[in-house]
Amino acid sequence: MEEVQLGVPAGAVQALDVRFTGSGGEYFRIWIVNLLLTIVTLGLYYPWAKARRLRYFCASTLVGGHALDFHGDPKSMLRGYLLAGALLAMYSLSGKISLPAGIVALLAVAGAYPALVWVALRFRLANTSWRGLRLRFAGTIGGAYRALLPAVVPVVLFISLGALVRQRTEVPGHLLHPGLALGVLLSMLSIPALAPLVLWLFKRYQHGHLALGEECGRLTAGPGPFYLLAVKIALVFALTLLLLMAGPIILAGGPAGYRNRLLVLLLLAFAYLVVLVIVGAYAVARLQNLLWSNTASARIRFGSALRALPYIRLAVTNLVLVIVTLGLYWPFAATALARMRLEAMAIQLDVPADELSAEPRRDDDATGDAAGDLFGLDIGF
Amino acid sequence: MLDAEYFDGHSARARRVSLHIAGHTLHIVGDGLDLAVPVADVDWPERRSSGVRMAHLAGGGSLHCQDGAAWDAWARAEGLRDPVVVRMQQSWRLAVAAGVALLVVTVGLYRWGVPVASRAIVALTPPEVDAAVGGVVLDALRDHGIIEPTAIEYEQQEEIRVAFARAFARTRPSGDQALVALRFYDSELGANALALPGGTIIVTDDMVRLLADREDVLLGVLAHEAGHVRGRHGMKSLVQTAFIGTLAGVAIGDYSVMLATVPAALGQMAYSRQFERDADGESIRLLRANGISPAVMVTLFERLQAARGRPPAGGLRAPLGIAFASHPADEERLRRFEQAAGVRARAR
Ligand SMILES: [Zn+2]
Repeated sequence: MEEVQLGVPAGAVQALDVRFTGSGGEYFRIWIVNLLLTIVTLGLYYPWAKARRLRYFCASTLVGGHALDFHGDPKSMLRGYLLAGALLAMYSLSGKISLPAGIVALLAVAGAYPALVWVALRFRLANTSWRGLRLRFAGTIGGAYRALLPAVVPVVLFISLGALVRQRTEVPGHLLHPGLALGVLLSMLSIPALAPLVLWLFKRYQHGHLALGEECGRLTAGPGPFYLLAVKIALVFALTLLLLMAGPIILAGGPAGYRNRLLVLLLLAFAYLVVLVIVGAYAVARLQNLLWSNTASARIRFGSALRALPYIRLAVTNLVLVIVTLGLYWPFAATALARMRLEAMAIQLDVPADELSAEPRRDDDATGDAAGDLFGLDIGF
Repeated sequence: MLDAEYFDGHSARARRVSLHIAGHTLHIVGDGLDLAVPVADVDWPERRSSGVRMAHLAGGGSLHCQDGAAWDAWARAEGLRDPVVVRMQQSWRLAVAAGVALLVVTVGLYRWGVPVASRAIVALTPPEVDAAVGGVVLDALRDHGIIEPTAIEYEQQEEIRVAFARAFARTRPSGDQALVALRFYDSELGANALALPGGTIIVTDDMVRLLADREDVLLGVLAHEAGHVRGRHGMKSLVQTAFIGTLAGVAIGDYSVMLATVPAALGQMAYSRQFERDADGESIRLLRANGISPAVMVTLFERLQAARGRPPAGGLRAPLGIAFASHPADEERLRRFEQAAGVRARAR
């Protein structure tokens, strides 16, 4: 936020601070009651539980003193979840049935994925409001395909070529065609090499179409910082792996008796989990800063100054407490993480907030939101 | 009367209004506004311990009140009632009770609910579906080269089929046939037998060779597999996995998708142990009906272990098939065959 320089009279600039007022204890009660209802109804209550959770988190997020609000209709969310569930069931079943059926299903899911992402983005934003104004996702479905194509192609290529190679090598004495081998290798290497670019393309699409009234966001960062961040994340991963896994590995190689092997194995698994949490928290913090410090519209600027170390410390403490309490600490962890992430944000308006206005809203289907959730796609604003 | 902010949904401008309810109508008055809205059309906010209250109006407008306590007092005075869910959410006592209920319901579902539900679903599923699934699995096993044409002579195959049909008929006083088809294949699975949904039982060449001199033991193995077919265990485990996977995904998928797969895996292990017990029961029944001591099955476990040199790891698992030798050769199963033999010896 500090580096943001604005060429407008100081009087017109309005800094909005972000505060999170949710409480861990209250969210715990909401969580456990809704979990019970979800289980008792064999999952049918899930959309209501989810809408309640989103409403609680939105209403707890104050931007310039005014809370965000969530308007999603659980009934349309239920329809979406049922559709997404049917898709997922078809996909996982066809994978079990046979290889060709699995590949066809993979292609179908890969082909539908950008559309689902698009619908999910639209649903989530169109149902979030601030000061009565609905946010909007202004991206097109074609844009989603263009943004996600580099993500989908190498993965599909790698899986299909891999299956082909496995089939070929099953014939004894058959030598692998060098071109095919090269194709597998290249498609495999292209996945990590393209990952930062893919993330950049997607985030440019996502942040480039966040809209509120006539304001439409833009991601000003190029792919360079994303590659730099990827390198840093890889370094942090290597370093923490070295530091945290060395102890248990030495212990495992030492004169530990057969009886202790289970203990050593548990220790190794825990150390690896801690490594994943540290790297994950580091990545989340740095990515949030990178994204929001470079997102702005004509009259709205965002900033984020989330410090990685405190965030990592919080994430590791949460992990330990969640394990020790057998998961009961989870709502407290979720609120604490949300508080730290949200309160690191800052927003600056070059226009009095009262003068913002919305375009007429359209009603949106929840299918994409539901699919996004089931397929592990987390879209948080 | 309550002071609140009104937003019309088109402009970010807040308008100071006061609210009151008369009969079934909410009146929003102030700042040039005088709206009357049916109380039933308002999406009322849930009570919470602190923070803003926001009500959604039908036309896209909304009411905000920064003073949550004032809103709650007003709502109570106007006769608006908290839904049961909100009362539970706002009471530690009820929330803890919900936690205990959650534990009880989860254990109940896991122990009885899911098995009963999957039994019902499988019972409602026409047998043709079993056959179709079994056919698909068989094709997949063949396509992946896991099973290949057998080297067992046709005469020997027929001998085994006839012996099994005869032995099976003795367990059924009415004389109905075992609706299974024995098929022999050479396989990398080693000495093994698999029951596919629909009634196909795959017997590997290695299994036939392992028990070439012990038809009695082979009958026990086939009866075990026939037990899986009769109980439609393959289909049941398919439905159960889907059930637990869905429930776990819904319950804890928000926290970690990876973690959500654990209950399904654990549940499947527990349920398949029950399937094995049932199938072993069928095996014991057939052996007894044919005057064979169930203790002969000890030979199988001994020979399997000798053939492998170590206890089976259970790593090789055919999709959907329930392979006999892939089961963890637990002491428990061995003891059961021995005990069954002991009971019989005493009874005699
Ligand atoms: Zn079995």
